[in-house]
Amino acid sequence: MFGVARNLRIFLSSQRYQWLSFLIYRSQGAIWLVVFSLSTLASVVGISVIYSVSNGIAGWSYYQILALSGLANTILGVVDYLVNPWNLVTNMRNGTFDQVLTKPYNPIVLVLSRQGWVAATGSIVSGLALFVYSIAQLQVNPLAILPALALVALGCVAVTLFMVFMSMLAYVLFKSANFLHWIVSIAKSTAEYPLGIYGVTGIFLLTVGLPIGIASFYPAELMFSKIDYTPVLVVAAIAIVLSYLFYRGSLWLLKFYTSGGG
Amino acid sequence: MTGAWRLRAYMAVLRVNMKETLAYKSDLVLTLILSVMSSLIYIIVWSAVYSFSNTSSLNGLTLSGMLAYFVVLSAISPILGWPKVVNNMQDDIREGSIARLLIRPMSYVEQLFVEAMPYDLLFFLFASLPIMALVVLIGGFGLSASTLLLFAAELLIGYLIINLLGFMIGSMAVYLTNIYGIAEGISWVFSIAGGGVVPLLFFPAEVAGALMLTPFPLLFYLPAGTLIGIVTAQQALGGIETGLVWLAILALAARTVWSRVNMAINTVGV
Repeated sequence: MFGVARNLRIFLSSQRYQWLSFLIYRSQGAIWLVVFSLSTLASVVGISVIYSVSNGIAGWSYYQILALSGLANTILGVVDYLVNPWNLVTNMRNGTFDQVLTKPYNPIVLVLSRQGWVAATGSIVSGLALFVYSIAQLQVNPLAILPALALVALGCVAVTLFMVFMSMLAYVLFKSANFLHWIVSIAKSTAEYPLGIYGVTGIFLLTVGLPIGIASFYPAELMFSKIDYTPVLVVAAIAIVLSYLFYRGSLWLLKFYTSGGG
Repeated sequence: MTGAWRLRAYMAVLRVNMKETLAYKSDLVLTLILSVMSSLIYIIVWSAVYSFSNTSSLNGLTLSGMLAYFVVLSAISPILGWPKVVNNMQDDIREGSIARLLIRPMSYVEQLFVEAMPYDLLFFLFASLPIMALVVLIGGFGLSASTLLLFAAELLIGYLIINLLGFMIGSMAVYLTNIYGIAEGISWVFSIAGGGVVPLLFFPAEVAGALMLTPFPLLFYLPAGTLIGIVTAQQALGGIETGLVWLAILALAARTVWSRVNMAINTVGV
């Protein structure tokens, strides 16, 4: 039932369907892609203003912060593309989540393939454009980028599964998930700046609690040679462990789902 | 429908929605805490900026002034930075409950605004007022009656503006169903253009001047700046005048949008 190839096929089929639905109205779709990229533009404006009036933030140059911001926007774009916590909890509350559980596929894969926003591609593309532009300005060694991107991928999986887990937990505990909107907002605001400014508690929370730091901050530090490979390997291990825990935790929490008969 | 009957009806809708909002108490408490925290992040960021620049003042604004600015924002931006009508409209359209609401002998648009109020009222009473009182007491800002009046006017106009903007974004749900992410993207632009991330006095003069002609400073910069004294009474009055013009434009635009969207609603009659 949980075969990787089988689940990958249903995921890709769902993506194809979602994209076809999205592209039916092409000009409208283009507008939404632009709208989703606005948050990246807003980040560039905010950072540019900060650097125009000050010496910057904690030893990070303007382009390094832009690259970090680009990564943060890309990662949160990926999360938005795959998970919509608010809709997920609403579907669970009104019983329409039955459609997911009655299909012979991994329910987490079905959640990831059906609950997100295709238009979040705008955020992914604009974040990537900002990232590529910034590292081009910094002339970063391409060989330093590859291991950093591997860490980005691991962090991205951890953050996505964290959002699925939190949505399920919000359903079980509160039957509501309005507060998750603010978690996403806090994740976005914090991930755009170096973790060091948040102190030890902030570093801990944004690495082990809400693992957005794993996906953006540590890879950026690795790319700009601010840390060596030993802490990166530890962070990568944390990402793998957290992903597994969030995945198993989400499956366990699904047992508390009560059908509303929708 | 007479005025008194309408008022009674809307008070009843408000009471019911207040109870619904309070039904998910833990979610509400977490939302209150996290929404305050989201602006407090910028206190940490700006503290780091001041510390790294080794200065006590940037563009004439001291660190304590900057901290006060973001604490006040943490008290007002959850109300002025995110229009609740967006969530309600999306729910109504997605779940089909708009059909039930449209056949009530009350305007759907008015119901929508009344339904969006309970959370804002609760946040204002239990978070905004205590936080702002603390800022004024600890920061020692000498508040005159005229400053408070200007602040209240900015808050009220800002509240109406964000909800009208939210209404127009929410109307898109008729065509798109899922608009939550779009609203989030747009709200980031409101935040930047309104001084929610960086106070407008940090922007180049021409850009700040142009932004002051938009409705966005009334959502963040003008109310927070008026309360902590970085916005003069003259600037506040100018902002209020601009806000009133925008209010009229947005009300007219919202009416036009709704008259078109109203014809396109499809529902299965849940």
